[in-house]
Amino acid sequence: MNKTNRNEILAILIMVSLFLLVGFGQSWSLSLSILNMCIISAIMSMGINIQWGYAGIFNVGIMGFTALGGLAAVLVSYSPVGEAWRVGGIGMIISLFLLTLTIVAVFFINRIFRNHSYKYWIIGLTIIIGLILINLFFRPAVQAIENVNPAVTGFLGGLGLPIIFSWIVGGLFAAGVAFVIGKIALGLRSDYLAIATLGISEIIIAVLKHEDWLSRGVKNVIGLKRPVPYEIDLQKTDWFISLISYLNTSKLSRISDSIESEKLLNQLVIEGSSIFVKLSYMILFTIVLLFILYLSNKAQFSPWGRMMRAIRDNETSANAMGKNVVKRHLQVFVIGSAVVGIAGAMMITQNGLFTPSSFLPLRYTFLIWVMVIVGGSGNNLGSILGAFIVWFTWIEAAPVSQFLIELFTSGLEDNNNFKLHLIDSVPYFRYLIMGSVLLLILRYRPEGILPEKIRHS
Amino acid sequence: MTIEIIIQAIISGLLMGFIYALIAAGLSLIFGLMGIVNFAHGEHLMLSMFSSFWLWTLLGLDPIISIPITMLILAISGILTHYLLIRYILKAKMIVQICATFGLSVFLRSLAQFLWTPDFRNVGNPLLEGRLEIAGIFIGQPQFYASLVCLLSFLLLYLFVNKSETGLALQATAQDRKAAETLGINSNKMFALGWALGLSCVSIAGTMMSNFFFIFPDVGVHFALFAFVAVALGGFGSIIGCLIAGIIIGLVESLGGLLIDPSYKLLYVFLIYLIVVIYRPQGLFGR
Repeated sequence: MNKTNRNEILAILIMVSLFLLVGFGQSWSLSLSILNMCIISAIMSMGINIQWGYAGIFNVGIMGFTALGGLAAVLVSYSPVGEAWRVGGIGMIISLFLLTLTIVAVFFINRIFRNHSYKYWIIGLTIIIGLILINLFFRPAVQAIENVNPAVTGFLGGLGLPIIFSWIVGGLFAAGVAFVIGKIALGLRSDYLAIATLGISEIIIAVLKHEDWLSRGVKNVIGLKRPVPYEIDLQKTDWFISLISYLNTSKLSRISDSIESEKLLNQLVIEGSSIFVKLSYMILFTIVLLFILYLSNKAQFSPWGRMMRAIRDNETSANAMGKNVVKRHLQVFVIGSAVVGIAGAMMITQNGLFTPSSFLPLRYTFLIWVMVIVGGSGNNLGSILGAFIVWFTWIEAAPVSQFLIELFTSGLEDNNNFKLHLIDSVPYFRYLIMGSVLLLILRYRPEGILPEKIRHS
Repeated sequence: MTIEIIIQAIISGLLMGFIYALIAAGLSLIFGLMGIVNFAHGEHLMLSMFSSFWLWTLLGLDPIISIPITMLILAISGILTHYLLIRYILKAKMIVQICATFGLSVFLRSLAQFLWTPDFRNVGNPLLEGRLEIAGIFIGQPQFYASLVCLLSFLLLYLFVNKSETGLALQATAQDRKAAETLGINSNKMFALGWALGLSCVSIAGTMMSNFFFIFPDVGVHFALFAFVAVALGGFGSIIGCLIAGIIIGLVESLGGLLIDPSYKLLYVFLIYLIVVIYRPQGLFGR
């Protein structure tokens, strides 16, 4: 067993022991919910690792791609609102058709008038005419849809399919947007792409917040369907109750009083149902995680991955060897964004609600970057480890810093302004802690905890 | 919709445009000098707004009086940024430079949240209040003077960079660092001066905006995006390009908001950015 393998096994052991610690120390339910978010973050950071670690593409729009995945979860799983479709469906379909028509028209005008100086004027005119026509149908349709029972629906709803499909659709959405952005901004200075991703993610959030007909905007979508059973149903199912009583036979048999033991069983069933639900989520997420890990490892050590590394390390020489740098960059940018989109859909699936206003760049974009850099860019297992460590720190940072603040200010009076201010700012300690983690890692171990393996073959 | 409303929108777009232009000029100056995009630009704007807010709250200095003080504060912080951070990454890969300034932006923003909480604040009854009325068109007095001051500072900056000896030394360093060094120009000092100048521009814009804008830790995000777009539109490193680009952005923002939908101002500006990147990646005045 060589040294890198030992490091990896050590890393996995650390991760497992952290969760066992929380499980025994705090509660299994908490441990599992942290674990679930860890897995989702791990998938996101693997997506960013594909972009940054494989190809050196700097994407600061993670938030936007995550939100697109969330939108997919809503659009796939929510049952269609028939009333809204009746009043505004036709208008929506016509405007969608007109939009496609405009895009196709612009595309063809670009082709036909290739060498004419007035090309741009014709394109501009086409777009303006298209927009006016679309508005003719779009505005009234939106008005009608948003007036349908605004307190509960007021939007078109989705397809009513099982929410699991949305994981694929979320990936497709993110890939589509990434394709457009990458097509425009890749191949230029790398700041262009950084600014473009920064902008597109802000715009995606703005659209989700304002387009009520699509995603209910800031009114949020709640009660998304689940791929796993509900706790309340589980508590009434016979096989689940018998499973719990079978698992706790020794505990139950110690109590002789039948009413007491009934009470205990009831409590155990309630606890057990929550753990069961989280466990089933965990199994689903782990399958996706392992699948994506397998694929990205396969890709990394294939000729394709070797070519990517060659491009990352020296674009000019890779270009001279006949590799199409821009095309490969576009490919890897689309794939990485799709993985982020999948993770976004999974996150919304687990939360069961979609709140566009909860998407903050610091929480999504920055934190995922910290995960990739801490874990070690270029190493898939490293980014998973980074995600686990960083998310764990993120969750446990607030109670720990509260404890520390109370410890250090215990000499001060309770109504001391400084102490009160510190206690009020506990949530912001998280970012400071994350920033310091990032700086320390960059200073002392810039290649990350699990560095990229360099293979000489 | 009457013609007056459109004229009103054009004028308020122009006024905001001058402010954007000054913010972008600071960014462009730093970029032109050392090829580094300052992703913490919005946070520097936020810092200047907060310093003018605190000068007003603690010392009772009106923003218009405190301009020199905030300029000084931001200039010093610019010099510090250069000596503590930028000096080490000048020769690093571009991606490292992006990471560093992006990290700085996160650091400054979370520091502001930590120190001053994310509350919205504003400068209560400043000297500049109310509005002017010219031929049925209303202009907010703070906006008007803000854009006036910004335009003035923009001209001063332009004159300084193009006419004064130090400004020419700055340009020489921007064009060829090694050649400038052989002529006895201390390039490190010039870089520090560039940061000081760039952030002074931001501080003027920020101080004047604190008269009529809410002050909170995330305030810089949108302005920074607009400034990036303005720099890309005007041409990386071109100062006069910033003025034109700032005005275009201001007009697009206010006219788009009026004619289409005010909630998507960012989208219109961003579309312009994409169009520029597609058809003229070097920008309007780019070399």
